[in-house]
Amino acid sequence: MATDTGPPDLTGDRDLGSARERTYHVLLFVCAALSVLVTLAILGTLLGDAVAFFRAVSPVEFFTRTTWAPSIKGVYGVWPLVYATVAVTVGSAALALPIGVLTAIYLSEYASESTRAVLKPLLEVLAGVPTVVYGYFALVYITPALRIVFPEISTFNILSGSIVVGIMIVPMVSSISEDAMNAVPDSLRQAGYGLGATKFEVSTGVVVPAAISGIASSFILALSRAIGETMAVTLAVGMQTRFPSAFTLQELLLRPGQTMTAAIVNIGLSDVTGGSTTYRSLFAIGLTLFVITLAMNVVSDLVAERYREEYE
Amino acid sequence: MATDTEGATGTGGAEFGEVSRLKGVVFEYVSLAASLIGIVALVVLLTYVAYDAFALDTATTEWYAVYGTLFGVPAVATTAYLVRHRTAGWLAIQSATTLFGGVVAGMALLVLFIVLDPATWFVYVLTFAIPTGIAAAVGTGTGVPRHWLGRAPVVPVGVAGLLFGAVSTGGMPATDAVRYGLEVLVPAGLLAAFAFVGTRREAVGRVGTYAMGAAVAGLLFGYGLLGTSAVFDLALPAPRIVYGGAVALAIAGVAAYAVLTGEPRESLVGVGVPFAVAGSYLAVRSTAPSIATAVAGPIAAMGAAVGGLDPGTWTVYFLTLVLPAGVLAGLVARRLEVVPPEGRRWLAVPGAVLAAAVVGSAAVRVGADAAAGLWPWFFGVIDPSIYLVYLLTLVTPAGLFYANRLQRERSRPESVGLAAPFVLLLGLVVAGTTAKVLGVPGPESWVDWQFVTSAASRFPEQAGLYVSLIGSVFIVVLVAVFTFPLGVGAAIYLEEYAPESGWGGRLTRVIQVNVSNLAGVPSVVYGLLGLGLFVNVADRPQRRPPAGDARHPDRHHPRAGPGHRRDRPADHDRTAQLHLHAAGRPALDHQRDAPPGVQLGVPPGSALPQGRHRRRRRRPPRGPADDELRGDPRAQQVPAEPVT
Repeated sequence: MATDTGPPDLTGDRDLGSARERTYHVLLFVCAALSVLVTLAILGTLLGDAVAFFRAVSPVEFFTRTTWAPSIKGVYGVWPLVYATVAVTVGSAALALPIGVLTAIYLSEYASESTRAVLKPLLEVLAGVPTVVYGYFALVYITPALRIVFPEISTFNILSGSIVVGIMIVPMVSSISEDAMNAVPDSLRQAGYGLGATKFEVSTGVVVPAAISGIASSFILALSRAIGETMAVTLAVGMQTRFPSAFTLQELLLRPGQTMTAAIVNIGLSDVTGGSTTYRSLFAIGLTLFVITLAMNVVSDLVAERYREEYE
Repeated sequence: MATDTEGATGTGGAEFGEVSRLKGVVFEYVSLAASLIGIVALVVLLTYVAYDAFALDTATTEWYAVYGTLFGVPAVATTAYLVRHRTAGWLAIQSATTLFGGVVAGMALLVLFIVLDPATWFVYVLTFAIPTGIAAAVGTGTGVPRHWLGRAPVVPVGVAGLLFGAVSTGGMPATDAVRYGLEVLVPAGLLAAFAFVGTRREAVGRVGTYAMGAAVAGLLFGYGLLGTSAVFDLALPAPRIVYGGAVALAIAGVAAYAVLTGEPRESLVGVGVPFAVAGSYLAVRSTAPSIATAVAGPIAAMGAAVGGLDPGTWTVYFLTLVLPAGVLAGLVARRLEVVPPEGRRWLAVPGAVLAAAVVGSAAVRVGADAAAGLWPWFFGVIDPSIYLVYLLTLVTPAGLFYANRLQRERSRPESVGLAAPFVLLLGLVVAGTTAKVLGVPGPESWVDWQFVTSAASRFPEQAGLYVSLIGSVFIVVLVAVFTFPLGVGAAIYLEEYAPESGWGGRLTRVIQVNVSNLAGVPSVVYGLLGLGLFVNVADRPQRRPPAGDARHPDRHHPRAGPGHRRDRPADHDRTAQLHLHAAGRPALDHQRDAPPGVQLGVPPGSALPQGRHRRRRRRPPRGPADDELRGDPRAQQVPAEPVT
């Protein structure tokens, strides 16, 4: 450090400079590596308690029984929760996937520049509304509206939850799909027109297949978001664990349920004792949820990677 | 983009036939409808919410007429004009952004003042912010070669300032705060001057910096040794030993350095600096009280005369809000050439700001009394302290902005766009006043100032979302504080530093995939992470009493909801429903939306009710009355209620 006794040191404190550079390097790496640490922490936290839970409750019971009554009977069958989650996910997907893809097609193929400039930010707003507000919408406005069509609908019900979650994930589908469609080179479209195809045929026959990997990945991401959605479904679908007893619309969609996320909220906010089996069941559900969403995200990543059409 | 195929029909003759466009047209409109459906749904829902929140169904036709003509028509006309004229629209957006940003920044500052007592805030400004700012400015200022050495004193100055601040914030009068501040300011100025010399004479600066570091280390050591504010009482023997030890440490360090490096002359200078600093500190110590009284006394008197604020608060606000606002505004105005850059003309700007502070405070006070009947929710709340905060965050920046834009766009008619936000605001005010004066009954909305400034309560007419609001603000601020450096750091690393091949490359890839996956993890899982960490790792006491385990979760409703709705006719279907369910699950309570771990960390504690109280009434003078305030049962209402 004190080497400047001889000729003038034109480079300044080189040692110090490189030490500083190394410090920055390490600090920035720590910032980046923290994400891995968080993942590991999640896994560790969830696994620790989940393993303890599965010592008390056999995994066979957890994954096969259709009753979830942790506090009263000590029965831990995860199926009612999975049912509600799947029902909300399927319902919202039925709404959001077609709408999202159509939106993407419109934005990428039909809309003029100025229309796009207006529509795209507005769609982003949909994703920016806090989910608890969507839950409020469902509970206070959508369910009463649905009651006009289905007079026997419960106040908390799976259908209205599906609708708001669907609205919520539309921008996710549309923006990722639209990016994929925009990446399709114009020459493919021109070739289609050259063969005499109409705009409709080019859109559905050329652009959509060419962008299919992006669309698929957007589907998976949106589904993963729907599965993990918490506050909206807690408010809209309710807290009543229930497995459908019959294959009717009433049983399937019009009655309350409790999704996995809502169960976590419910138990997390109730007065269970830390360290009890019920408390640990939180982490078992959380682990199930985490594994499902993580797997879907990874699959989406792989799909996008594997089937990506490389255009020059 | 692609050309359409409209020309394909018609000319073909028999062998081509007609290309049906019906399918394509239908598809286009279906996809357009699909893109609009979500947006329309959201708009409809928000309209419903607004309609219910403001109870528009209870408003009379006359009320609609008044607001329609005085607010609606001008608003629509303005919007139409802005849409037609791009430049005007752009200026209007800038204008609205300036105003909105000022309002939000003012709110943030007000929240800060709720958390930090004004006196505490002032102490930290004096002992930490100003000295550190000076030290940093000297290092990077114009005319000085940019050099790491120039910024080196920031660390000792900052540490010493924080230390002094922490020691000094034992609830002291403003004059004492000024005194302690001066005690740090003068040595800090010396240090900064020294750094200035050091950037010219590098060896001197380096030696001195080491000496400073040694001295500060000695002071810190002494502080830790004694642990009380007795550290600063030089009449006692122990502090003398400690300070002597610190100086001796510094001397020893520098001597060792001199021997090791063979720079005796520079080392002598370096040794001199700690002594100079210590001497200046002692000198200031003996004179600071009188200086502080001389400075703070007149300001405090002015505050009492003009603003009706208690002297301490006025002094703090004047010195930390008004003065910086004035000086900064003057400098910015000179840079933007709003005022002529040459000469001392820019001093008019700080003068104007000071005048605005004094006149505005008096006006707010007088106006509040005069107009309180008309707009009680506004004038019942605003007082000179709030006005001074907004002078810094809203009035001064907005004034500069308008002066600058008007100067630039003077000749263009589009500059009226700047006035658009005011047209809307004025329309609202005029419409409201007219309705009041005419006695037109408005909607019986429960969204009012009381709703914003009250804590949750079981009585609908007293309920509000203040605590939830503050909790949300805390979470947002904390999240921003944590996320910004980490996120930007990670981005810089991945973009600039990360290796791309070999083992390092694999690690980079893992990090990248991991980052995108973390975004997809459900928020509730993060909540579990927080819960697990706090319960297991940090070994916090468990949140819930034992014994509740056997209860049925469905039967257990955590507590009464916000119940913020005023009593309304029970036949209102949706309202009744909301009541029913809000009683079980507080839909609007933001605290519950946060992950459990964060809930544990949010301190909605004792500072808040005080602050709320303070803002709803005039702030009582400090002293015995303050204790009365704390003893007021209403002030303690909030901690008594469960928040999470």
